[in-house]
Amino acid sequence: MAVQLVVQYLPFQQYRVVKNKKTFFFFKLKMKNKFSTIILILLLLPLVSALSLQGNLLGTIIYEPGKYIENLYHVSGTDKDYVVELNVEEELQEFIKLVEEENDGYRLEIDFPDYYIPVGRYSFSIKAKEVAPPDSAMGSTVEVSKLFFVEVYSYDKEILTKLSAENVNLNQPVDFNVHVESRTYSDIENVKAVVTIFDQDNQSITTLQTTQERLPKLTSTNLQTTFDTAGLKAGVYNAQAVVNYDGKEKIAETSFRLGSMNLILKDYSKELTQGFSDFSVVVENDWGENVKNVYAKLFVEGQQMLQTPTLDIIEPWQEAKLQGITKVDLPLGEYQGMIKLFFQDKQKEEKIMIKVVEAKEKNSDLEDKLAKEKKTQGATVMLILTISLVVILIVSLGWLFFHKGRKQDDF
Amino acid sequence: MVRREKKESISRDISNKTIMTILAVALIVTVMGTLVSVSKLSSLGTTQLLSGAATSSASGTSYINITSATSITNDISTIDFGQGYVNSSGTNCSMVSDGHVNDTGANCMGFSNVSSGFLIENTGNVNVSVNMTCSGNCTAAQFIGGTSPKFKFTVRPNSGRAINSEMGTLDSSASCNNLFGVASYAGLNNLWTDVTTTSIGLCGEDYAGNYTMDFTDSQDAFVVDINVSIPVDAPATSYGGAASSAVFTFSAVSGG
Repeated sequence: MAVQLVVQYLPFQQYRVVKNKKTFFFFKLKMKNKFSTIILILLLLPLVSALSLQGNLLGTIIYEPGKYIENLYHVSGTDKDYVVELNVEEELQEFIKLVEEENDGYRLEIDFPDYYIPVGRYSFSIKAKEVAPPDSAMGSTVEVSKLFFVEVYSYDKEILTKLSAENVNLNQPVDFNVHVESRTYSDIENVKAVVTIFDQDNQSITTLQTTQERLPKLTSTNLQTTFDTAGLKAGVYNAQAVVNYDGKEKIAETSFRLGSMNLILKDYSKELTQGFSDFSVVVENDWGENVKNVYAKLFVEGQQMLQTPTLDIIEPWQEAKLQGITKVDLPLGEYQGMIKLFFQDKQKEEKIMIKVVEAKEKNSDLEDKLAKEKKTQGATVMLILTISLVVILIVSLGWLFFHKGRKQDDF
Repeated sequence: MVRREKKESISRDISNKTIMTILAVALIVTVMGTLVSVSKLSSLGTTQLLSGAATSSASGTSYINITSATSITNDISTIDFGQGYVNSSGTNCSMVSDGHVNDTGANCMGFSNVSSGFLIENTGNVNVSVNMTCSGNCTAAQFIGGTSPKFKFTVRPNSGRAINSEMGTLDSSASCNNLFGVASYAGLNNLWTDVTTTSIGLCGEDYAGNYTMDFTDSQDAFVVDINVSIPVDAPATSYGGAASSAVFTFSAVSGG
């Protein structure tokens, strides 16, 4: 039986250790006594109650007649007595059991019968719980559980479906994939899909037929078709797949992008603070390949304020942040500005509005940053100088010893 | 001849002394330089000192199996206000496990000041939901007795409560998205609710698959504080007697 200790603080450096609320022993602590000091430290540590239940993740269990699953669990983290319980809904009770193993281990055995059980979602759980002490004043215990769900599908034909398409560059074909997952214990004799493409105005451009297949129970498949984008302009397009399976229908949707070699300005700093100010530009690569050598220049009232450092690469369809620090001497107010984006051998201009605001704490942050950078540089230089000096001294000493030795030999 | 030997001996002595001096200077310069550099770098609070990388050309196959650990720790597992009585000139003694005592008047005599509630921490590697159940004498009438006693609890993220007893580091963000209690108990945080024997969802809902108690170390703990108000006419109990016993069970549930 584990012991629950309740430490009570009493006057005159006295501590009472209570075992299950009955006075167990009582002693005085004297700081000079080493043993007492150790005990005092141990007693001052907070009383901790913990429990852990570990095992491989099973996820949702799909019921299949004759299916057998075995999984091991282990309880740890407590020095108190604990119990482990298996709670199973009535419908599954005879198929699931928990067997105690050595070293706080437990084996979960799921052995579904060879017949079907009623359709539905069932649950069961494994719980490890500390055995509550019978009478603590205001104590606590902990429990940990793993909750499992068993899905029992129907004989009615049912599927889950998902449409996907990748972004491509202009004039490149788009491959559509319709993923179909069976959620029935019946075979589906014929599954196929019709994919319709819509432009930015939601006008249908074309309709495509996918491959068709037979879908055995509880399996999945992918139906494919390809769309020729020749002649279409860059932009985002929508697609809708109507999946037909033995006379029933389900709809899945997605969108895809026809990209061009372009950078899209997604965001930028709308305010500059007087003095030193951070400025950043977020851009997105609208191209299905890397865009290289990307940087931005900020112009306010025709004056160049900043050129950001160059990013070597922005990966396909990815966003990136270009940023730098600029000195702002402009009076407070709103100004017309321009961001020039440079990438590969191209450039692009975006008109913007930018506001100059009063410097607050932000500037001191920037100054701190600059001071820190200077300090880092100073420390690095000092380190390099020290190492150089040590090398020079070692070489000099070596040289001195070498010559001294030679003189002695000559002598 | 004797003069020549003497001269060379002196020359050897001078040479050794010079070498020793240079060596001493070199050592002093090295130590000083290193100390200055290290102190400068340390003052920056940076960890970007010297680093290195090792490479290996050996090849092989490795497997890793990370098990799911549903773990919970109650870092403060008892709340003990100790022994005492209510001043007969007052009406009640109010004590909260967040250090508030005698908020309704200095009537608590001899009780201990408690500053930490139950500190519940997700110490596993999966998100969980947490329920609380009280067993024993879980109503104010049972636990305390007398006229209008109070026995309440509230839940608060430890990022705000800042009890420095977590197994991991002290939270910097609110756990459970700062939403404690499920639909029927919505808004448990900072709301004093009566303790009952009914199981209460403190964070997330297990059967809805809503496991909102994150295992991320910076937001994995919350505190359940207890508030008791003992009326002056509360009956005396023997220390540790069954009449003053309530056990809170904190239950963490994760997906299997």
